[in-house]
Amino acid sequence: MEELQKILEEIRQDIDFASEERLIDDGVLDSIDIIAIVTAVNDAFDVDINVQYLLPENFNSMEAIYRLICKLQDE
Amino acid sequence: MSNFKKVLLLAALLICFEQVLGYALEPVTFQHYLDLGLRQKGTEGKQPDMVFIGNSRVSTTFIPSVFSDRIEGVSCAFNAGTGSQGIEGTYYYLKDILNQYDLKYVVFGLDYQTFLPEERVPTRDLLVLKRIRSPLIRAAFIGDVFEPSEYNYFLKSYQYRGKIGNVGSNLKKKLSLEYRQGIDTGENTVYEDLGFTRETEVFGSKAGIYLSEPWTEEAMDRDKLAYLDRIVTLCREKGAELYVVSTPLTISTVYATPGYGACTQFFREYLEERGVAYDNLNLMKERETLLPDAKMNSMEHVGDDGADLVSDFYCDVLCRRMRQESVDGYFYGSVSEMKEAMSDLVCVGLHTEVADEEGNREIVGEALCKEGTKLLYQFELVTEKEVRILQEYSEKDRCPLSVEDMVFPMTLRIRCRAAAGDAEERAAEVDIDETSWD
Amino acid sequence: MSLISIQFFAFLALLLLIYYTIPSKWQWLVPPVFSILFYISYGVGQIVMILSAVLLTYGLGLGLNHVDDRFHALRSECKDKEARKAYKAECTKWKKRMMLAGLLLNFGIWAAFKFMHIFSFSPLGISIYTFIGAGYCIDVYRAKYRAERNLLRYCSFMMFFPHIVQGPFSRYDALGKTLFVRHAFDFDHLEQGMLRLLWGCFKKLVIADRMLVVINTILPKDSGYGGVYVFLLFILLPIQLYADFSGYMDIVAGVCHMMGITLQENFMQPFFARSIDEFWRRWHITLGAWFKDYLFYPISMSKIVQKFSTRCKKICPPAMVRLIPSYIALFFVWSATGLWHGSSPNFLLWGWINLFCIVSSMQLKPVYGKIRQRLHLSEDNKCLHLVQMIRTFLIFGFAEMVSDVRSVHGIMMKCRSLFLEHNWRLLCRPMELFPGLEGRDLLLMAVGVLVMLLLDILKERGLKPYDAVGRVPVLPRYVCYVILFYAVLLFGYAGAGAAGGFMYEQF
Repeated sequence: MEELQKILEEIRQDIDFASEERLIDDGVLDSIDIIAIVTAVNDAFDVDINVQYLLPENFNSMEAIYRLICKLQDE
Repeated sequence: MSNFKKVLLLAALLICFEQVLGYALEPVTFQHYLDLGLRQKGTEGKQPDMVFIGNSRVSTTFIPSVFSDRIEGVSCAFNAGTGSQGIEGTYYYLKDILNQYDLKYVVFGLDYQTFLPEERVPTRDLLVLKRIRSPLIRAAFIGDVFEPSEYNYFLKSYQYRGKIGNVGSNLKKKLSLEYRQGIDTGENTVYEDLGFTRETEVFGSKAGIYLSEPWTEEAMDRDKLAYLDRIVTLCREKGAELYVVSTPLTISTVYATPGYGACTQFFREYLEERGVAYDNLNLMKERETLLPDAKMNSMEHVGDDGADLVSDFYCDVLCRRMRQESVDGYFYGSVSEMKEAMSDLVCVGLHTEVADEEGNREIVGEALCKEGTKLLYQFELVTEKEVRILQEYSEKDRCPLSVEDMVFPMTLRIRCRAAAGDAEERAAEVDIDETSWD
Repeated sequence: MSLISIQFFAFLALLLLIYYTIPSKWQWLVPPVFSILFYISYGVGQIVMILSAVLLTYGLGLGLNHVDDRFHALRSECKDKEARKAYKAECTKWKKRMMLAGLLLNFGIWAAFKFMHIFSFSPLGISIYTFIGAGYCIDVYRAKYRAERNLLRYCSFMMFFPHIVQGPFSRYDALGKTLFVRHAFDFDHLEQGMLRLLWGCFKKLVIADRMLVVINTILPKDSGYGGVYVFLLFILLPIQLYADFSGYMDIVAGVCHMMGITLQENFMQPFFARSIDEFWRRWHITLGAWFKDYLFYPISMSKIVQKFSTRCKKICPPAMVRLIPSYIALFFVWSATGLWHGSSPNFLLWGWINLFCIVSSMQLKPVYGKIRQRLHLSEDNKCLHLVQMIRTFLIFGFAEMVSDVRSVHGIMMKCRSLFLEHNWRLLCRPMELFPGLEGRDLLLMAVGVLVMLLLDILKERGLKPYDAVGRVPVLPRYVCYVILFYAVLLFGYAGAGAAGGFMYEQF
């Protein structure tokens, strides 16, 4: 989770990822940010997030992203 | 507020706005004066029994009082000519008039352009639509002639939206005493009486050569021609005697428009087959001296004196026709016969062309004359101070006009005479100012 | 039939009458029937074209579901994990093949008409329904929702006449929700819809058509208008296009609102955008959203692109590596967006100008931050915002000029004259800056633009037009409606050569 937080904060220094719960719903992250996160996460955690997982419930918060990573690592 | 009341409120507001805007925008038309005039006749106990119908060529040529004064059995003639009226409009308007009045005589003005195809202009028919009283005839006219995309023109505010700049003067006119009394305050086009409008301006020395599109029988729009039959049938059914006439155009038009003679012949035969008399006033004898182009207002409208002359003349013709007498002595038999009887040199005109890039020009003379006539031309430049001869009489029909010679404003004049014989000299002028060549 | 015509208003009146009087279980049938009539008014051949696209995408959706269901059944019967994985892979493989074939055919037909000019006519709305249908199929492929089994309902969605000519690019789940439910008669909706429709007509007829006269006078490469006039183009082109396109969107939104149906908004005060990237989230919103969901994300998240970016780790800093997939995807998106607008090279150039601005903005973000700090300007500084808005506006205007001047040579000539022709003094004589229009027309255009921009300012500040109008008492409100109606009727530009159709109708 810390590694994820570090990645996220490198991409967007201006967001408090610990507390934000509506990153997608409120438009806090734009599409470039999302792809940057996906690219970094794919590389760091050796997963393959594909388009079907691009849903608000998977990216609205840091916890949600972490859950997605875990799910993909299990598969 | 309930929905129903809201709808009523909206409808009421729309109607109010439409009435106010329509009143403010709609210009004063001659129909207003015609209605007043007819009502006046009604109070004198005179019901209309003769009508002249057609376009502005009719409305500017025939003076109703001449006919009602001289033709027995006609107590009130009126001129229902409407500017730019097409044959469809003529048919429906005539139908409406016959619906309202017991007419004895109908005079329909047409000419070689009446049946040639033309671009659709809805505003022409809207003017006619306004004149039609009967709702049924209106509906039939709309269904027959108008396309759905033109229905927005039925809103006066839309139809006259281009006249927004004239609202002030328009309202002033409408609220004036003269308007209510039927007194027209026009300048060059003066409303006279019972639909007749007099064009006071004439060509004078500025008459040139006016040619128009050629006429052929094949080019005619057969749908339009069908309306002529409908008019003939309509008059027959209503018991009104129909006379068809072509009003005078400039001599140069009649002389030089290809197919004009064939057109006259076509109308004569077509109407004869249907038992209707046709006269072409362009072929009136002595036309050259009685109604030269200098006395015309435009290519298609007679001017001031022309209306008096033609009305008298045609009234004579009609009286003879009504007495079953021949009118052959009044007219030339054909355009060729007319040309034969005319001078060797009929009329002359000029225009200018660009000669080079420095602004120099060339005056080009044109003349209508009998075949084989050798002509001599003289070109003059007329200013306030002097008359300068640019090129003396010679066979050259072109004369250079250099930039140095140009003085604005100026008048360019051409004189032309036949090299042999005693044909009258003809002249024509064109006024030129700074903007003429833009 | 054009959306601004007597025939259309009669068509709409009839539609609404039937829509609200027909028994509720059949209400949903009214839009498709009228959509078919709308199509037929453009020619029977048009119906054939769209029906084939409808059938293709409908069949493809059902086919994808069928494959999913079959393999799902097989997997649920199977206990072995490896076998289940194999079934899943097989399912994906078949779905992919189907999608590829279907989309190739779908876009192939579009490309044939658009780029190869196979026939002399252009099917109405082909650039819209091709993309809408493709989006639907991709959503079904991604299992976002099940395919529509009812062909008539699917037809109702695809052929929905308000969106078929110029958009917006509707999504099946969003539009379907509102299209198939029962809508009770609501007078307020009728009134609000009519107001929006009138407002759209005003923008198109009073503003856009007038401005087009000036643009068409200055734009041709041999028009003789250069220098300050070219700069004027950068300002007029966006405004004219906005008035025309958003005017049309208001008309279709108004028509839908009268039926109680909600269409996605396509514009959101675009001139308030502070960057080109933001601009395209406020202008032709649904086009941008389509390309984002169906081109940008799939490309940037594809294995090939992700692997490539990983390999770039050796030569690029991590911040750059994270952006590489976006850059690659953006290249395809903007090339495609350019080609969607037109088949000639200048449209591709137009797309790449936008791409360049977006990419350079991303790369220069830290630089801008440093400059801002040096100048002691906070991010919320209003002047800074204004400068950014003007910059974005002019860039868009320049890009539009590039797309409108059809030849590259013409573009270069115009740009050259911008610097070489010295007629900037005309700025002191504004009345002479608008060739083709004068006097009253110029005044009307100026007033119209001011009203339009004022409304946008209010909307940006949170004004909800329907609510605000609803708060005005009935009588003054209705008087204003009638005034607006007559403003459109009397001031709608109909000069000689005035544009008749809408700009985006050719798509």
